[in-house]
Amino acid sequence: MERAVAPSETPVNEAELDHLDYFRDLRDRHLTINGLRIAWRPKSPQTLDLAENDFRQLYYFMALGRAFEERIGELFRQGLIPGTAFFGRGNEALSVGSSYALRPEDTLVPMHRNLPSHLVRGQALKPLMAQYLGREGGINRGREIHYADRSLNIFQLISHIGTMIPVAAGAAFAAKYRGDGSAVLAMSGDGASSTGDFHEGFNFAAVHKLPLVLILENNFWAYKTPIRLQYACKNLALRAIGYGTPGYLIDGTDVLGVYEITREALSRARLGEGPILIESVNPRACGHSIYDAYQDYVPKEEISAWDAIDPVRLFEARLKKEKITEEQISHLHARIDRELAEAVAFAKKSPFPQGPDILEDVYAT
Amino acid sequence: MATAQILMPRMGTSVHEGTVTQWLKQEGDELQKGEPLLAAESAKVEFEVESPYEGRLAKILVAAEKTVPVGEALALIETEEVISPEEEVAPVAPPAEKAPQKEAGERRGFLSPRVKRLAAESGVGLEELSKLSGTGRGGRVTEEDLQKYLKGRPTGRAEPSPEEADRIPLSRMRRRIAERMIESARTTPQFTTLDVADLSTIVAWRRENSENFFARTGVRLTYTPFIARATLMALSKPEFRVLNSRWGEEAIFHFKAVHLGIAVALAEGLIVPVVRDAQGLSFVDLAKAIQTLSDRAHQGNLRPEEAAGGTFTLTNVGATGSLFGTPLINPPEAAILGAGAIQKEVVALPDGSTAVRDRMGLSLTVDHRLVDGWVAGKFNRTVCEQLEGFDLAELCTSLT
Amino acid sequence: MAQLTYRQAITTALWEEMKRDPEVYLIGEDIGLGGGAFGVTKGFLDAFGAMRVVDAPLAESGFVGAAVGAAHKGLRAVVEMQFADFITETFKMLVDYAAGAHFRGAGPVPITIRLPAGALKSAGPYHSHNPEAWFYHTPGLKVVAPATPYDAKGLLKAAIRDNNPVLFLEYKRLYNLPLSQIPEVLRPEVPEGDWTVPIGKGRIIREGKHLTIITHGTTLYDALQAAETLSDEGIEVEVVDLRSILPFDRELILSSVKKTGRVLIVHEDHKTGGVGAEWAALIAEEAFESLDAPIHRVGALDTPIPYSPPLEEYFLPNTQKIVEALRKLSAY
Repeated sequence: MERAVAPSETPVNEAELDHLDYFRDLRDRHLTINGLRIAWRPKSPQTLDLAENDFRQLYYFMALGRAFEERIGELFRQGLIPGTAFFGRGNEALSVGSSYALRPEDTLVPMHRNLPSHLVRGQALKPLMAQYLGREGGINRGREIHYADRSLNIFQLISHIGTMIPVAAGAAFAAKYRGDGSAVLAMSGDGASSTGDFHEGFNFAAVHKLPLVLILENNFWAYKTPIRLQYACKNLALRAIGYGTPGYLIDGTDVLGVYEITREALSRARLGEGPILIESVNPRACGHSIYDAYQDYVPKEEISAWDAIDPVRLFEARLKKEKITEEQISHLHARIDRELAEAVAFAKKSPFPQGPDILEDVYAT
Repeated sequence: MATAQILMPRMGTSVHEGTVTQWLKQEGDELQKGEPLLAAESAKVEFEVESPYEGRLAKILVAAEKTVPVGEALALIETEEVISPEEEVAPVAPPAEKAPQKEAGERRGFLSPRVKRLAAESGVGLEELSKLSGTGRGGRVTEEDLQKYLKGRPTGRAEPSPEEADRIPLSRMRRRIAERMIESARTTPQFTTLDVADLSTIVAWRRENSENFFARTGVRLTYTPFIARATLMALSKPEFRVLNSRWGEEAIFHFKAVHLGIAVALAEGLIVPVVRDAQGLSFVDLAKAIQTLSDRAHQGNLRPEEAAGGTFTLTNVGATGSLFGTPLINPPEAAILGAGAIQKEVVALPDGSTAVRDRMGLSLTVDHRLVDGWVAGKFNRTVCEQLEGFDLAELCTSLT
Repeated sequence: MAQLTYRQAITTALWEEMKRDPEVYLIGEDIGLGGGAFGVTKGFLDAFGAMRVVDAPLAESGFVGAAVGAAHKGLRAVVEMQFADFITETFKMLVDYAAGAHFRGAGPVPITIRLPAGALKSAGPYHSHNPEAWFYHTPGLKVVAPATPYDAKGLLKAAIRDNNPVLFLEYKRLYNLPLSQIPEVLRPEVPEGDWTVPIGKGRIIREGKHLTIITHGTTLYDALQAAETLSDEGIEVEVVDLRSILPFDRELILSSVKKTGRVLIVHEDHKTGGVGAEWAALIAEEAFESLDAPIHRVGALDTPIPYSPPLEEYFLPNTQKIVEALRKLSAY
């Protein structure tokens, strides 16, 4: 069954929210609700401002992100990853679609599952691969497992995910302070939505009408905690009401829909309307980290549904039908394989950082 | 039953204190009269104190290694014997008597890191440190105490550091000698005058007669009695009495008797037994006395009083072949005469001819406060003349 | 040239830095419309506008986090904690985020957190804290604690210009201290113009040869009085004001200890785990052989901060407690 595209701004009654089952509705792709200013609005691709090349780019970044993470898994099993690794399998559409809407001067504040977002912003593969291997050639030269290239206007997260929300609000404050027309896109999750910092940061942005778009990726799990133990409201997008700001509920497996909503939210934020909250629903088709035996706690029926809502496969199928040939797809995958091989070779050759160097970096000069 | 005190004896006229080196008996031990009770030493000699009574050692009052003034009670002895009233004391308290409580927080021995470092940097050893009295808590030596001590201390930092040297613990004798020599150099302005005596006659006579002399007297004839005799002859002249005297703050004391100290070199150092009233002795008696004292010194059997109370000292600066030396006075004496090595020399005789003679240097050090230069020189010449014109007739008499 | 009170010195420093650098701004609770709980920023809103004098919601983690994020974009926030005690609200923002940001490669965080600290007449357990020890364990932070108007101005300007997160302890007890009550040696003229007091450098306030007091903040005043008392007894106490406590002036501590050999460490904060413990450890490690007596400390008692006046007096360090400790050390 092909996806049914719901008309935008279709009013729904409050009662429907009570029966919302993300997992079932997402799987069946019939989720169409709009209560107050909360919208579920996957748009028809025809309404997008994307060119042919953009479609290939979107697919390339999603496929590259997926392949990169799979390569990290192999390297981990070979003992080449010193710590752990976090994957975003299942959120490639969200990562790529949202960051594809950013302008270069905008700031991205990602989570640990948004590797493809870094790629969209221009992160080179070689330092990224060396980063995972803890090498001197990595993005932060082995100082931290999390990473971001500041020159690409990306903030580097800390493990306290909620803490990044006030920090993102501060970046938006700076944009407003300077009046430079830039905006901030921050990625967070259903778990972080429970922190005080979610409230303090988003409230600060709302009070001061800062250009911040905050996406809460609701993937049903915060490590092993299901969302029913995380919050008691109908959905997270509804929380925007409490801050007097717009909120969106989107299908995070649809890259085009994610792109469209994020683009719209960013432009509204730039206009000085204040922050916007987006809840993206998409699966975490993997464990919390590479160590996590998710099979022990994720229900079997949920795991078995992952294939059907795999954003990479969904987009590929759609592209094959309308925009891109089988040959072009193979060509892209060959390029990805080649680029990853080069990145791995570079990373393996990169030396480990030297102990005494860390003493120089405690204070900024 | 009576209880008697054992007192620290006076072991020489100028001795004011003594040190208990070792207790030979323990509290409760039975004692025979005359049995050695403890070993002690003074600035001059080591000696043993014997029990004057038969009885029991009731109490040791002065621990080993402690130095106390002469006359201080060292121990209490219980005896059935009748003892003199002045020796008797109250009976010993029962052994249950409580030892004096240590001061709370007694820290006399504690040295702070700072004091230890400063001491090491200043070349002050732990032993030296332990002698300082401290003003800190519990009597510990503070940095300030050490700084004060260092200000008055003669040696400076220019010395090589102790780490660079092998450490030879000071023997008691070495320490005593050091103290005496420091006293000598510090208290007495001294000078040394040199002369040479012709001993040819004596050398020849001794070569001929020493065997016979030994057979007759039991004395191994050395040159020392000759030099002693010549010195005594010179000292007997009125103008040289000042060399047998002592400086006092109010007056100079010329001694009537000559108590002649004879320096004896032992492996550990020098000791000076004294021939008392040497001026009246015949040559043979003088030689006998010198040999006896020398032997006893070598055997370590010198009684304390035998190494004390000299008025003039003879020493030997020639044992290693030296012709002269600059001996230091043995205070509070006024002079010391050092005999050099005897050697054959070609000399010009008064008639202008030359001859090979046996000659000996004499180095006389005097206390310049009492003895003027010309007196010293003249005395030294006189001793030479006495040796050169030695009355061998008396000796010959004694051998017949 | 002027004699400034402690509060005036802080206000002046803020004003001058705001004028000097358009990227310096103020953020905190009640600082704009309210002029600050202690009136330090009165008049700033009118002069600089709401974008540079930001009245934040009552949520320290939120606005400190915002200051951190803006710092990544090159702005320099001077954050006012209404009371130093409330910094616990934003502990992770400072300790987990800001302190290590430069090290992690996340970029420098040039922010200054002003912390009205210390006891002030029965202010109770949530308005009296000295927070330095909570942060002392965190590489990447700087902590300064001026005790005089001169240092308050010079160190605040230095903190604002520093490219690292700086906790600026300012003492409520000193805000209102009239110049006449500040000892001569603690109130040098506070010059105008472009100068700073370098972070990490202490100062010998009073020379002495017998004992060293190492202190910072309000107890400097008590220490000076105690030194005066001991001087009458013939004991000359050297008083060292560290001014900066992270990083702190190791060389100054060590050189004074090498000189006197006896050390008393004094701070208003609790004794156990107070920052003075670190100085004592430094001395033990680096100057053991200079010590002629054990290191002693005087600090607040190890109890929660009490409210009622006699309890508070019993709890806090004061001149008499310092005098007694000095005498004890001196007699060692």
